[in-house]
Amino acid sequence: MSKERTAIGIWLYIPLLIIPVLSYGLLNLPNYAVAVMGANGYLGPLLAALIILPGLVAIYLLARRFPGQTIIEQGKSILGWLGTITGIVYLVVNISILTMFTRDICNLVHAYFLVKTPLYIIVLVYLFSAAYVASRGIETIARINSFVMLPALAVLIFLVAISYQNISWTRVLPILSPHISNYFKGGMASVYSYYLLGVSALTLPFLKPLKAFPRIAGGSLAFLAVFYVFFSLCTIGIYGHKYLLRFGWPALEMVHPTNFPYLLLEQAGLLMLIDWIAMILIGTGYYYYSISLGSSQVSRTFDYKKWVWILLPIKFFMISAPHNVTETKVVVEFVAKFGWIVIFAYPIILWLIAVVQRKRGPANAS
Amino acid sequence: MRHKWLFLGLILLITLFSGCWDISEINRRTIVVALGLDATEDGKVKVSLQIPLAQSVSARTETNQPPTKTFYTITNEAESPMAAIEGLQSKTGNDLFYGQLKVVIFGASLARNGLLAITDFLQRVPVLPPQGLMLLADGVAEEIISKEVSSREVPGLVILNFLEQSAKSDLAFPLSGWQLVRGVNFDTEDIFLPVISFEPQEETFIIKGIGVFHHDRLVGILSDTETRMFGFLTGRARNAAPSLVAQHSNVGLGRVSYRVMANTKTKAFVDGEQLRFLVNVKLKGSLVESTKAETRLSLEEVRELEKAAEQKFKSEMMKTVRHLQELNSDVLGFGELLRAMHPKAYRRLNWDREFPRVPVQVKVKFNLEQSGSFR
Repeated sequence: MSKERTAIGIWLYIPLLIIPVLSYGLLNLPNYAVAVMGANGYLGPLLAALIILPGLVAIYLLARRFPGQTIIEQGKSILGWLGTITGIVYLVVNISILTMFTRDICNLVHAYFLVKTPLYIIVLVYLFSAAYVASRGIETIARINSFVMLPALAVLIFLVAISYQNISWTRVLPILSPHISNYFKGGMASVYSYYLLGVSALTLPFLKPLKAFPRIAGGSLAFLAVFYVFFSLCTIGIYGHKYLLRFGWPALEMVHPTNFPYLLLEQAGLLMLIDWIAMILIGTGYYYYSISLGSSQVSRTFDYKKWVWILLPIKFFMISAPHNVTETKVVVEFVAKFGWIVIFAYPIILWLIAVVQRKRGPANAS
Repeated sequence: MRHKWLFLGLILLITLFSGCWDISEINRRTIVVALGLDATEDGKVKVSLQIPLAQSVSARTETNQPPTKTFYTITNEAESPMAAIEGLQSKTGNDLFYGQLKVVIFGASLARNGLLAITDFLQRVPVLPPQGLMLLADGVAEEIISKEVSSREVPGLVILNFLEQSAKSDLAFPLSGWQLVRGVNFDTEDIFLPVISFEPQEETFIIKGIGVFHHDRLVGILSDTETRMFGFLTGRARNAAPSLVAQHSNVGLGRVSYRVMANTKTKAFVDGEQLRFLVNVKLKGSLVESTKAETRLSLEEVRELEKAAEQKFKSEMMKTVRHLQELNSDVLGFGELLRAMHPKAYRRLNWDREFPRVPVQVKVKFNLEQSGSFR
């Protein structure tokens, strides 16, 4: 098994902390938080950012303690044979998240764009494209993300800004929820929107210098949280917290009513979809790569490129498993609800064990 | 060499991708611009579609001659709107295309029965554009859909142009499809629809007045004046054109007309069990006509004009509020305001029962910015 030997600078790593995270996060935002918190569900992403902070800190501290190792290798170093098992569990959960969110976006394309095209064709085209991106390696993925980031964000921010014309501020009131426990629940319900930040546990060894991670992760987290809050405010302000819950993809519905009469792209929804699908494809490529890299490390057979293609049929069958949109939404909600245990809690547990057992990786491993 | 064959194979593969399942050529589409929905006597829904005759419209452009007919209509009846729409497919050779649907008109009797079930398909079917404008027919929607206008333009587009011009936002306020569907699903705020009728002598549409709803049922129609006051009360009026006799002033300007813009803030007050609303309407406008042709106005005279207008508008607005309370139609959004500002009080009350009797106070401030003397 050959190990990928490359390094990514700060400016190439930042897009990996923003584009994939945003693309997956927008899928169901702010519905999960609104279901718990009502009209002030827009606070959910802000609270979620605070909740995941210890997980991100643990990922960084582990990377410092075990230089050059991903979380899979760290698990093996700390837990021995048990680490292999937890590594497999870690990867299975991540594959589940990737496949179910991929199915969700394929459902969206099927419902809005390609109504008559069989779903499996959409899934296959999507998967092959993501697999190709994943097989090019972390440096290429980072460069694509970097290339796409500014135009993609500019379009997204523009769409959110113009969607504010449809907002009614009374719909986002009252500011304070009557039940204090709702804040924590709402925060937990929004944690999923940062899951791909947790994937750093698999790619952090490539960041040079590693000590830059707290700064860029903190900055990215702050940007994402603010964006999510504005985005959620706008969506709730347009539709109201009760009516909003009927939408499968609230992000799309937020911009759907906005149009530019007599212009080339009359409907903002179309612009949003094009932008979003491009982001999701690149984001999935990154996630796919990270899982393939983890698979090669847990198995110690084949390199990540081979694992990209080995995992493809498995992912195809997993994506095809839900019978319909409703079933997909149920499974997506399940993985969104409990995925944090593996993505953010597992690194904390690993770090605590490493500290207690005073385990460290070789200093010159990076 | 191996790569060359692979490359050649990929190039050849392109020939297999000559189209996709969802392709629909433009010349195979029957474009729908307006859709009418009516209730039939036997409890069914009648759907009417207005379809432009593309050749006729393009011939007009080329020859500069008005075409004899710019559109045709097809209708179908079924148990639900979508069932009727599906049935309409069999009446056309091409695919019915709703991506350019600009106007949806509801018959009055259908609106009185309730729009919740009728409008559900507007939200569910992604091919229907959410920005399509919704109107209420002053009678039967099919009659509006099938009428030719004197300018011989496609009627659906005439209606669209009318409602998209901000200069006309005085006697009718446009409402998009997504706003209608959201509105009928809201329990804190009621909806309204602009009313459209047809003038047979001049072969033209008249869009003025609004139909107001209680939840999803049409409960009344506001007159021209009431609609204008609704614009003031909700801050929607951007270019209102009220006209009144300045009879209470010493200025003696006769009948005066204004162009007015409203900026409105509503507050809800809860004092124990007591609930009341204060609507603060700030109007600014210009004098555009005086039948006595008076041009030089002193500060006192301007102030008198403002006072007279304030009294008149306040009285009209109060009448409108009372009428809406009688109809139990909360199109002013008082319930939503109460939910947002005083959620505990809102949860305690039965808003449907409370709204007709809630005390409402209206404060009007009119600022006559221009008297038109300096043009």
